[in-house]
Amino acid sequence: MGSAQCTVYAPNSFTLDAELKARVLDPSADPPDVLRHAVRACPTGALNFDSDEQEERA
Amino acid sequence: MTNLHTLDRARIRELFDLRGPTYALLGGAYHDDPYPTWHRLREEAPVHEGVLHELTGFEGPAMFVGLPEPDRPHFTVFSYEACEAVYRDPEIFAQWPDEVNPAGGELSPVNSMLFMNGPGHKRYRGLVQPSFVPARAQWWIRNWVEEAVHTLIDGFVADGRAELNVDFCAVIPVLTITGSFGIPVERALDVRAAILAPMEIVDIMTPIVESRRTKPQDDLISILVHAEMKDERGEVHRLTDAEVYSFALLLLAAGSGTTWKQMGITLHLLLQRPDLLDEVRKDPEVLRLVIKESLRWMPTDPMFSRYTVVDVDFYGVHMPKGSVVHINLASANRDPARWDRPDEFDIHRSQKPTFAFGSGPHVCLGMHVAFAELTTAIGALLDRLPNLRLDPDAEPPKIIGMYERAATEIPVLFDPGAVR
Repeated sequence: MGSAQCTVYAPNSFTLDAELKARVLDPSADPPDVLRHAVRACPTGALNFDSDEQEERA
Repeated sequence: MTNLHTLDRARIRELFDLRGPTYALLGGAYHDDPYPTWHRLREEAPVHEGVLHELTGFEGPAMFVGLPEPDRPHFTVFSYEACEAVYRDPEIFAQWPDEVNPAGGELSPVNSMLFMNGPGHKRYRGLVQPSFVPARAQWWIRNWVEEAVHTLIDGFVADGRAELNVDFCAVIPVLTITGSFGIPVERALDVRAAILAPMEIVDIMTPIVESRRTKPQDDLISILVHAEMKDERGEVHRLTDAEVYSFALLLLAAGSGTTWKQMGITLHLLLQRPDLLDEVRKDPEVLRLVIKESLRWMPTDPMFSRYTVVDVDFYGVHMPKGSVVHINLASANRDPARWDRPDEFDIHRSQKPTFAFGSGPHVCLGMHVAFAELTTAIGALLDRLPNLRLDPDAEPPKIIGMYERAATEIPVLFDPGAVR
């Protein structure tokens, strides 16, 4: 939806693309607890942890 | 914005003073601290049957969206986990019980995307979301916020004293949002006064909408007038007048109604902590932490509501279809299951997400603009008013209100300075 909450909580890990979808920049760029906060902050629950890849689904 | 003098101070007071007529029906008469009661209720159960202000021991009047609805069952949710479950399940906890269609029907802030569910809401919100992302914060600051903030400070900088809550905080968001809709300063308060009289706002907006159709400018109303939306059949069309006015009513009301109160709450917290004030003066990053913690510690609007679309058993409570579910997000923000020492105002605590701006598909559209307004305005006060402090001879500020909480007054002294 483009709320951009993930980019506020973990600005080094997430960005919004031109369609305002969340994209992972570098999942190791923020500490794990910061990433956890960013994932939980997503208002629509669109972000998920995948322990192997830490890939997001927007 | 040199014509800021056209703003009538007495009228600002009438429109924004929590103790005045505007807020009387919204619970302005509530002057207590609700948090001890909310802690007790949350400890008893995450969900209670009943309406928040009555559970809090306040008989009212206290109106808000989702109230009074006397023919429906009411429930109030107090824990972070249960509030999150309501926000995240819009299929069960809908924004509004009836069909909403901004393209037709009566013109009112209720007939807007705020009260739509599902894909319809997504289509409308998608039109304005790009103007409200963090990357656009500077656009808002440069075009509207800074000018309002500095012109207001110019008005009292030489006096060495000011009342910041109504004479400063209240004015900035209303000028920001009306400015983005192309509304001249001298009509800004008319818009705020007419929030419940949509036709007056339409009268103000009509010539602006017409002029932006032919000659777009760098503002939000031009974006709305020229926005293209794909409808449910996949056809692309421009917004109708009714749809544009629906957006205008909603965004003008929401944009001018909340941020100013949070600004006053944040200032009241800062001014009572001179050490913290010094820290903020030295490092602007500290101001961001102060604002975030203020949003957790005391969000200005403590409750928003949803409607159950089916019968549901929720945290041991049976809610029939059509119930109103009140999310006490302020209580969730101090849930000890999530935060240590939750009543302590501590800017160094872990930056966990809060519900200050709600959650779910209706999470606050304006949150990043609100944050930009708060940082710009408070930052400018500290820059331009040396030795800023509460007036020791005046009555200290107090936070009051039930469903809209804000400071009474914030009387301050400072070393007089110069107009820009």
